[in-house]
Parts: sequence; C-alpha cells; structure tokens
Amino acid sequence: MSRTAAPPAAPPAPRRPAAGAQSRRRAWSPWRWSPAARLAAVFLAPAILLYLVFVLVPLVQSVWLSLHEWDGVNPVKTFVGLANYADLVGDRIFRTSVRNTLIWVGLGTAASLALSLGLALLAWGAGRGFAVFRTLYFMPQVLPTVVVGIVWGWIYHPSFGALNRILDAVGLDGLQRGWLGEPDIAVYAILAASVWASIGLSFVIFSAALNNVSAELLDAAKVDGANAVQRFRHVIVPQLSHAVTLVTSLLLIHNFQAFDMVWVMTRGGPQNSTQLIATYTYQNAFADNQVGYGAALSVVLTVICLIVTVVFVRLRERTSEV
Amino acid sequence: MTSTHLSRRSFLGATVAGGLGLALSGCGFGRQEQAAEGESTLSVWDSFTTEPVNTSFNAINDAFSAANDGVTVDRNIVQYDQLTALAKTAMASGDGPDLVYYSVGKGNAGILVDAGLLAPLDDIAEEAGWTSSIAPFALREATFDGVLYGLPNESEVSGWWYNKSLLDQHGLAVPESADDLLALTETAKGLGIVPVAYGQGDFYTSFWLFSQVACNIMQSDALGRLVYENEGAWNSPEMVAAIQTVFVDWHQAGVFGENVNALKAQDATDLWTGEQAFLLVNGSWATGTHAEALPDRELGMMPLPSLDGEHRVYSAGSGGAFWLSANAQEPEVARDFLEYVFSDDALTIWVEQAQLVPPVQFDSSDYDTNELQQRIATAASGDGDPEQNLGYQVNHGLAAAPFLNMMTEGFQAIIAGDKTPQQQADDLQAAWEEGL
Repeated sequence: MSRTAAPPAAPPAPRRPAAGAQSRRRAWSPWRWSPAARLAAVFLAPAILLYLVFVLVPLVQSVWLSLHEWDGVNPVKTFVGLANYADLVGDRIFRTSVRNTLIWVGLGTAASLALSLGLALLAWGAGRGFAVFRTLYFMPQVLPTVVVGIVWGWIYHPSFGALNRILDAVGLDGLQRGWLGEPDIAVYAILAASVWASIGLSFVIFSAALNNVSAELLDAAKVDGANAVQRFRHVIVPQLSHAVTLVTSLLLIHNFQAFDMVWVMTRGGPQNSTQLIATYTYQNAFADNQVGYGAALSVVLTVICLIVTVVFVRLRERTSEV
Repeated sequence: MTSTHLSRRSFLGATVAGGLGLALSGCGFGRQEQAAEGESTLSVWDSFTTEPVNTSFNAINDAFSAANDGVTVDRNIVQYDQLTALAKTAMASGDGPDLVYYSVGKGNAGILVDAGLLAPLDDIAEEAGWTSSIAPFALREATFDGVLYGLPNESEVSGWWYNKSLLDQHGLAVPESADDLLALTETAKGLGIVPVAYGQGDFYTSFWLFSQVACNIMQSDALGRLVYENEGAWNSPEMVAAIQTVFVDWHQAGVFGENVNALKAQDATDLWTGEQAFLLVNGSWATGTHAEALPDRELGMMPLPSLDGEHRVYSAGSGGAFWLSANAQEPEVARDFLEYVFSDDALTIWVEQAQLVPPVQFDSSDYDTNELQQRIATAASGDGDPEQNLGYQVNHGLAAAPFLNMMTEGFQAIIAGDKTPQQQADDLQAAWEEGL
C-alpha cells in the first residue's frame, strides 16, 4: 500500500447558517408547500382541530386540575402539587374502583368476546329459518345503555324480578337474593347486563368474518381427520384474527368507558362495592365538589387505558409476526 | 390518475371560510336571546319533574306572566341529580339562569354562596315580610353566615306512611310504640306482608330514616344546634343505642322485610302502593302520588315510634329553595317572581294543585283539599307547635359530602352486618368534622 501525500484540505465551505435556517423556515411555511400538501392540510385541519379542542386540551387541563384543590365553582383554585395522587394511595374506595375496572375490562371483554363468537358460530351453520336469531342477538346493541340498566334493574328486583321468580319456579329458591344489594355479587350482576348489551355488534362482526372463512380449508382439515375443536382452533380462529383484533379493541374501549350502567343500577353502591374509576371520578368531581381529586382519578384511568392499549397492541403484533 | 392541486388562493379561501364558519357557529352559544323593548324573559331552572308539581309550577309561571305584562318565564326542567351538576357549572361560567331551584345545605347551595354566585335576599325578605311569615326552620335552611340567600317553597316532613285500611282489614292497629311495631312485625310475617317498606338502594334513603332516628332521640332543639351550629356529637351513647335499635334490632326482627340494601325508594313505594306492605318510610312530598295510587284507602303519616319514651318528632326540611343568581340578567323581574311565589294566588296553586305544604302559616281547610292533604299539611306545619313537633333533616345545614357518603355507605354496611353501630357513629362524627 503506497503512502501518498494527503490531498490538501479543501477550503472550508462558506458557512451559511442563515440560509439553512431560512430553508427550514421555508419548509414550515404553508405557502411553500406543494399543492397536494396544502390540499391534505385542508382536509386534515378539521380533524386535528377537533382532536385538539376535544381531546388534547381537556387532557392537559385535567392533568393541570389534578394538581389543584377546587370545588368546581369557586374562581380560586389552590395548587396542591401531587397531594391528590398521594391521597389516592390511601383511598379504600379508589382501590375498589381500580379492581372493579380491571374486572370489567378483563372479564367483561373476555366474556363478550367468547359469547359473541360462540353465538356467531351457532348462527353460522344454521339454515334460513334461524336468521331471526341474528336479529335477536343484535337487538340489545340498539338499546340505550340507560334503558338496559333500568330493565335489568327490574330483572334483578328482589321481590318482583324475573330472575328470582325463575329461580323459584325451577326449585332453586335457595339461590334467590337481592342481586344488586349484596356487595360481593352486585358488580358481577351489573357486568352480566353489560355483557348482554355489548355482544350484538361483536356478533355481527364475527358473523361477517365467518362468511369469509375458506370452506376448502375446513374440508381439507376434515379429510385430514381434524375434529371440531381442532378445526376451530387451527382453521377458523386464524382466519378470524383481524375480526378478533377489531372486536377486542372495541370491547376494551367499551368497557373502559363503562359508567352509565353502574350509575343507573347502583350508583356505585352498595357500600361502594360497584364503583368503577369512571363512576368514582364523576362522584368526586360533580357530586362531592372535589374536582381536583376527580381529575386525578381521570388521569389514572387514562394511564391504565394507555398501558392496556400498549400491551394489547404489542401482543397483537407479536402474534401477527408468529 | 389525476391529481388534485390546491392553489394558494383556494387554500387561503378554504382557511378563511373554515375559520369564519367556526367563529359564527360560536357566536350564539350560551347566550340568551335579547328581549324586545319593554319585554323581559326570566330564566328559571328547576327539578320539578314529577306530577302534580310539574304542571302546577307551569301554572304558577303562567299566572305570573299574566299578572306582569311583557314578562315571559323561560323554564328549564332538569332531573335533580343533573341539575346539581349542571347549574353550578353553568352559573360559574356566567351562563346560568336568573333563578335556580337548588338543594339547601352547605354542600349544595353553600358552594354557590362561597363562590359569590348567589345574591342576598335579606332586603326583599324584610320588604315582603318573609322573616315573620316563613317558618323559622325554612329560613334557617336558606341562611348562610347570617345572610338569607334562598326562598324555600315547601315544608317537607319525612315519616312513616301507613295504610290504615289494610291494617284494619287484618285486624291490626297503627303501631304507636316500639313494642306495637314488633308485635305488628310478627303478625305481618305470618301474613307474608312487609311491616315497613324501606330500601337503602338509593344513596339518599338512609338520610330519611337516620333523620327520623336523630329527631326521635335528640329532640328538635338539640338536633338543630348540632346540624346548624355543630354543637353536640353524632357518636353519643344515646345515638349509638338508637342506631342499634333501628338499624340492627328492628332489621333483624324483620321490621323492614328482606333485601333492604337492594330496594330503592321507588321499589319500597311500589311495595306499599301494591298493598304488600303496611307502612312505608317516605315523606310528605309524596302525598299527591300516594293519594292517586290508593284513592279508596285511608292513609296517613306518623313520626317514627318513640325509641326512649320521649316526644315523637317529625324530621322537617325544605327539599330545595329558589336562589337568585348574582349574575341574573333580569334581577328585578326575578325578585318580583320570588314575591309572587308566596302570594295568595300562588299559594292556592301550591296547596291545591301541587299538593305541597308551603312553609308559611295557612289554614288548609280554606283550600280545596282532601282529608289526607289536610292531615299532612297539619303535620308538616307543626300541628300548632312547630318548635316542638318539627325537627331537622340531618343531611341539611352543615352536612357536607363526606357525611352524606358515610350515611349511605355506613348504614348499608350495618344492614349487611359489616359494621357495628358504634363504628358507624364514630365514622359519622369523623366525616362530619372532615366536611366542616
């Protein structure tokens, strides 16, 4: 390897910071954008504006409020730093509400998913005469949640309710109880009503997805000797993966948003045993005049939502890669 | 493939049009329409959602408009729960009504007073003679730091409704003492009828029963000093014993039937109006509803049977009051309206149509009322001795959110067997102090 003299250093390029900065400024000026970019901006602007006004700004305001003590009316808000968050740690009702929210999201999502998929599978192979069941299964979806809550409140009524009467009629009167009055079971009683109300849309999505399942693959699996469970597990479910993702996402959102059913049926009682983070937030912010504490609760709910969403998306991505 | 381009001019136009649209859409938000010259619109928000009070209040508004040329009442009816949240938010933002019908107490109207959102009514009270004509307990409920801010429209007493016809049918008498009640309970159980319909599924029903217990055991004067001046304590030995008797012993004896925590106020009322219960824990506000549901039965209301042999006292209070906004658009019209609320014309509507008992002295026999209304009116106006016969609602006065929540949660826990009366009394005292 020959050693050659290094070429003389090139004269330093003239520094043009001003020009660089100018070009960056130009890039941000809408007047310099291409016509296509401007068109995109016009179409995106309303959505961005709405998102800013109705999501981001309230979110930032909630975080700010959570650092204050405020009754929601008085013009003076007292800055208390993280005191509201510190109070959450010792708050027994908050712990109950977190536990119930996780039950609602975990058990509620799993139950709705399983039931709607099961019903869709039942309706899938049924003949024309069974089309009425598709309508029946979907009907709860069109009812307002408040109506569902009131009707299920009647069903659970300890004296006149259908549930206790049916139990009595079939000789299970020992199981009769005040379903919404016992702390250990009230949250599950309300969750059952919520699951009933939420399976309609999932059922329709799964029904549509099942129509796209390859009949050839199912026939091939049958020929290979796969039983019904194996065909479901290894042929049908993989072809429903996108529908499962969609339904799970929708159910997670639905269950995190749960509020009205509990508020209508028990208002968080008895003994605060059915409080969700959302109902406890409302109670603090609007009934008990503790807006700062309510805001701290809503921030916690947002954080839990974010964590669950990230975990779900990661799991979904990993499953897709496999 | 064709591409669409947006010229600079079009981009600018779209931006300006969008901005203009947004700006214009915001122009009318939250603003009241300007009344024409010589005309005014009084904005009133209330929660009179049930009949016959709803229709009766419309009649009062119409009569007021008819008596005042150019005045229109713009009424907004909102459910009680929603009104509590909605009105304070709206008033704090300056978009509230001229007059709002809002709950009394430190945790309700007291919040609005603290924020300077309500206007004092002392001068109009003097002028209109309210200080002498309105019952002292009602004025006390609407007074904060010695200043009158509200005008209560109703004297509400809570007690035990009884169906005398149903009791007679089974050869039973209205229970006047604790022993009578326990004897009735034994007979009622054999008949499959609930002795006293009571449900704690709603957050507020324990307020009624505990108020009755407190009136019974403390008597009117001492309870008034505790509720309004914080003189006394909720965890006295007498109070613990009274809670033990009513919420533990009576419950376990079957006085309130089963599933007390699962029944809501309406469920308990349904049991009673369906004649599946002899008595009902409720109040005078339901007179019209009960009379309509059981038109051919002899009904009545009584205070809680005496727990210690002392005088039996009704717990009394004002469900709500009219409050004048400090930012009212029509303050003078609002004051005229408040004066009209207890005029002779309006009193007739309150008594005869709404079937309520206004907190003013009146002779119910002068009005077109039935026997039941007259009996309830007599009880609710103190039966000649309001200071002795009318106590207080424990959820009014200085009661704040922690105390109210502890009543709801704690009495549910006692019924479920998860808490002792002593624990509940101590927790009530702690919650009371927290809310002060």
